Amino acid sequence: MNRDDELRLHAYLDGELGATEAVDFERRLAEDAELRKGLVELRAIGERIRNQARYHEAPSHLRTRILARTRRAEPRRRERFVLWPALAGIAAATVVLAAWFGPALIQQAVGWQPPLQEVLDAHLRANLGTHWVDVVSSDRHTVKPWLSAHLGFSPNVPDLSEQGFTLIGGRLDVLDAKPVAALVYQRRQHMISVFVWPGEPAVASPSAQRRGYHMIGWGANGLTYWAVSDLNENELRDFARLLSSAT
Amino acid sequence: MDARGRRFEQLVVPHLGAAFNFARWLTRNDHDAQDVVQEAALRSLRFLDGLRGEEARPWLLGIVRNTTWTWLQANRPAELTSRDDDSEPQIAAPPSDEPETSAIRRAEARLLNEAITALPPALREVIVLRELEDLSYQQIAQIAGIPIGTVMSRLARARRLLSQSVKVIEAAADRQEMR
Repeated sequence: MNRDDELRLHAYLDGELGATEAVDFERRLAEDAELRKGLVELRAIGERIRNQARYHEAPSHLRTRILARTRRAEPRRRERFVLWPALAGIAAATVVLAAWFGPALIQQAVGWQPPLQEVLDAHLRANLGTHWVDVVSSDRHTVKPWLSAHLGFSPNVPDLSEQGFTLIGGRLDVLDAKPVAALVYQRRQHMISVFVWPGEPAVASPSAQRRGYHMIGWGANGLTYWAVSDLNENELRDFARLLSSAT
Repeated sequence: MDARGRRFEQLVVPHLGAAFNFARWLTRNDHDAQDVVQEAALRSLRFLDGLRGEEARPWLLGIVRNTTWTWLQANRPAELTSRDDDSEPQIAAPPSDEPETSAIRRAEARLLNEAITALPPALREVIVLRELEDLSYQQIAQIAGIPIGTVMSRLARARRLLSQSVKVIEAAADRQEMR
């Protein structure tokens, strides 16, 4: 088969021949057995590629990450995240980690109500069940009133997107049989839970760390805040500082 | 969010999946593909005013293509030296110890994917754009910055090479069945 015929064969199969050209080519196909054989082979390989070549699915956090960057410099409005699939991977990793925790944290949490173990468990539970937020919004003016309407206290929910912490939303949680607020932020692929309940902490700036999870607490305006994440400690400290100084 | 941000989320974000698949095939690596797509997305935000009346998906894929090529030039220049149409890629050899037909079928798909991966990037991109993204010759020519005639010859060549590797795979499968 000459080169022109070969290219025409591809163009014919790809629907790239004009109507008159296609008619001419079909006439030639009827007469030329070699051309027909070429067509059958080409059709087979084409189908094979389309059926068997892998369509690489984008990791679900990629979209979130891109949106976090493109939205960073802009004022916030209501936005919607497709969040659940993004967390499946984190959840899988957490199953392993959760098994390791045991009661060790309770010892460090002496004197605290609720126990730090419960705070950490709540973060892990959100990971496992992929139930991060009841109110999905990156708009702090949506999250804050929703939480205060459900809880009777009003946590500070600042917009930290310019500093690279994307607000994902908020949810209600229960620690030691008491309802608390949970704010959820994201930094790259790391989720950050911030648990908030009434009453100042007994110690000024408590913190704890176990197996890759960092926990940092502080008090503000009669509320206790605890940030929990697998983010590295420095960045979580930055986050805690930003959140506690924002109004 | 400003008007540009809204346009970005309406026009570009829906095609991030296609952008990733394309970048993944070109970089052959999940992590690098993510970096490239993120960079390309930021570029597309800057160039968004230039998108007028054309389709967003091929437009974005064009940006992904250029971003990837720049990235390859900076990070893996050796891969681009085989960019001309005349280099012969290695055709993946099938394994000799797959015992069952289902394993052969799985192996077929795997080897086809390896054969596409083994194509030079200039051939790989036209195959992915044509067969996985179903784009026209004209669109592929614009994305890759090459004449339509070159799209046609590269596509023909890529399919010929893949057809050959499929035959190698089938021959191996036949040998299995005759045992």
